[in-house]
Amino acid sequence: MITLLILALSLICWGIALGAHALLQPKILRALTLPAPRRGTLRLLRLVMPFCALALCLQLEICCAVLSWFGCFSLAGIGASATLTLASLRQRREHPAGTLAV
Amino acid sequence: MGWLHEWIGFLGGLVLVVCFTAGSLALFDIELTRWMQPELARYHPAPLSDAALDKVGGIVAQMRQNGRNAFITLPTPRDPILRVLHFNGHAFLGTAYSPTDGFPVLTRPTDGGQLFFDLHHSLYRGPFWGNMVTEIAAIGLLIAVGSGLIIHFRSIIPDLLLFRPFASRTRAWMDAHILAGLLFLPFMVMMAYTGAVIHGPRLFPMFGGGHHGRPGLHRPSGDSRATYAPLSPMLHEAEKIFGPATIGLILFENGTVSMTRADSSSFVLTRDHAVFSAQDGTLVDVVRQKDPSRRLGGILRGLHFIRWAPLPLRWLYFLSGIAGSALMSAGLILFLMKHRDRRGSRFLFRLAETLTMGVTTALPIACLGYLWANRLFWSDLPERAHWEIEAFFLVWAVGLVHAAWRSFGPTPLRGWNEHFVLFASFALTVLPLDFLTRTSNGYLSSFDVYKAVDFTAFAFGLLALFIHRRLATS
Repeated sequence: MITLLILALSLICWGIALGAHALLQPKILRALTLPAPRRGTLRLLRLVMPFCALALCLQLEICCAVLSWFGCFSLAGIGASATLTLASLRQRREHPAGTLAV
Repeated sequence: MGWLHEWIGFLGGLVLVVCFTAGSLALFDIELTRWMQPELARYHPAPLSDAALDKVGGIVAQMRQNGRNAFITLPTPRDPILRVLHFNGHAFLGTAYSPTDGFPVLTRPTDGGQLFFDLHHSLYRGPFWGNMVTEIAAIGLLIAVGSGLIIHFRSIIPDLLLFRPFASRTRAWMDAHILAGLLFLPFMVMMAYTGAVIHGPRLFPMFGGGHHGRPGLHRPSGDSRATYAPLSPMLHEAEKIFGPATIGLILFENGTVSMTRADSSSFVLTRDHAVFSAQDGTLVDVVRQKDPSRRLGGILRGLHFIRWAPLPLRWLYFLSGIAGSALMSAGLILFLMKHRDRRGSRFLFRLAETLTMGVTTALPIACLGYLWANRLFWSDLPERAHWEIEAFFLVWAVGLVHAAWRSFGPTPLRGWNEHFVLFASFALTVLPLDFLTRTSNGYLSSFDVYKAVDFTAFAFGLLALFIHRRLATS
């Protein structure tokens, strides 16, 4: 149960870090027609959150911790990408092409 | 690099999709075997008694005298039952015994989840040709990953999470392929590398032999001994040496009994064991792998087989494996998309589409057909395990023939759609199938391995239904 909780929290940390990374990329913002967010906070989240995930995973046995950390990175990336895509689709519905200033 | 990635990726991908799909399922081979032996649902985990172990030891002695190379697996949290097994060339088959009194538990004979293990490492064509093909495919995967990284090197960081489903169809598939490729890169490289190294001795025989994590594979049978000394004192002594509840296998060889550490007991898969005299049960030797190269091999096997890991980590591996399979399937589909306009009517293209459908959609249908056959064949059918395997390959072959019929006809896309409908139908009905063909008290009161399989199949069925609807509307 503890392992499951650690993995869930680690997934969330990685998800935030990867989401922040994506929102810092001008190409992704352009392609997904998302508004430009505040960069300072995003940079901080991108830097800190992977270490939070690592600190959580290190509560497990070391080999389990390393594999969990990498595994959470992969799955959280899928989750973050799906969230961004959904946000982009909503943005497109609310602001049809040409009406949004990026 | 583009040419290399495209062709190595396509040819290797046809094999690798099978390896990844089967390997993902093989992570839960023990759980699938239990699902395929529904008679065990009524048994609750109980501690192993000395009397049961000694009784089963007598049964093994008789079997070995009759020329069958049998061994014992002890109860574990994943499989809380005592088993006497022998290797039939593809899987370990045998009888289950109650760990409390040593009486046999009537279960249907089945290869269970071991079919997927065999399919994963040898395409069911071991020990030579199948293994050789998968080893070459593993090296192909490393080449495809390397060339893919070089192709996308400049955009790896900025495009890490870029996915545009509303762009053109080719662009969307390419995004999905790159997204999965980058996110699951650590898993893919680790699995391809450890897989290739585990089988390395076959490719490079000068570096010695590997055991593939299989006990008793090449050991001579035909022990003339009619009885063995009681096994329980040997087990207790071995547990003093290696620690409590660490022994998983009891192997028999040339007048000795080996109490072997379970693969789940440690990250390093070394098969350390204590050897006892079969005649009087005295400790003869303690074998520990101390050679650094062999320990390194044990680490790589531990990383690949992941038998030591807790359940959530095995689920992470499973999902990563499925994502790897989806990544390679997307690569195969991209290959077809690229060549459809110019070469769509050629024989080789249609063959490529047939094979792609055969591995990406017909194989999962065959896996579900295997589960269905297990529950629908009557339990005392002669050579039952064999017929289940035949059913698996028959369903796969029918799926392949259907794929060929559609690919060589005017409407190949209908073939994909029909496969998804069939998969969804099989997967969504696994739950009622289990409910109707398993006797168990309190079906709704607990969550066990049976329901885990049912709901996982159900989730994949819903996904297939979603893809079918998207294909139908596009």
